[in-house]
Amino acid sequence: MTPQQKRAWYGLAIGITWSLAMVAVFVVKGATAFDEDAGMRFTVYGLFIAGVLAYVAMLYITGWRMRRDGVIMDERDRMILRKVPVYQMFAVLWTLAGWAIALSEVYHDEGQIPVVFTWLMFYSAIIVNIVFASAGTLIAYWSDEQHGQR
Amino acid sequence: MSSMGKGEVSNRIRRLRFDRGEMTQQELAKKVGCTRQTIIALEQGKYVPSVTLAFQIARAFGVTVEDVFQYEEKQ
Repeated sequence: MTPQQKRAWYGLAIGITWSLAMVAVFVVKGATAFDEDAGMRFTVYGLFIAGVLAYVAMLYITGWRMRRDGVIMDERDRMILRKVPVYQMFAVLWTLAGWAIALSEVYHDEGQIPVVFTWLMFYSAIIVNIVFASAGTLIAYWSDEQHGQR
Repeated sequence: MSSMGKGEVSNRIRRLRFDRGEMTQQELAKKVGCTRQTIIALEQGKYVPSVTLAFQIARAFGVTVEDVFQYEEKQ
């Protein structure tokens, strides 16, 4: 396993924990409570900021360790990592497509959606983007190990 | 303009390592400044290196690039 893969596993662990925590809040309180319950809003804001900070801290600490240990990122790593933004883009697009389909189906008759869902779409797009920075790295390495250069 | 078919690059890295006192993948990686995983991928034929890395590997063995890498054209 390359140092970049190890870093991606840490990122994925943080991302999944973060996603589950956000989902748990909305499942327990209900999505529409976001507008009425200030406590829930602050919990969501807090979780969102905490997740971003945890991810940035992980990047900083692992980066610092790699520099300290003289870990190399070579040309193959760079070639593989160039694929990651493509996975991120598709993951975000699929997420937004999922939201569009689900909200259209559920709120079709009302002709409008609760404002909270615009925030949820935003949060989920950011979280998916960050999670797929790690998941995409693991997929890209896995794909390269299976198929090599194609 | 000449048309060239799709070719395949193979290498003798594993052979050369063993010819040089069973040099480990890690030792070679350190010499040429890449990761051990890249050496593994090269030996398995899953990765074709840049010209720079190819020269570095050849120099690490003290041979020419063509002694390490072979290009075979497929028609």
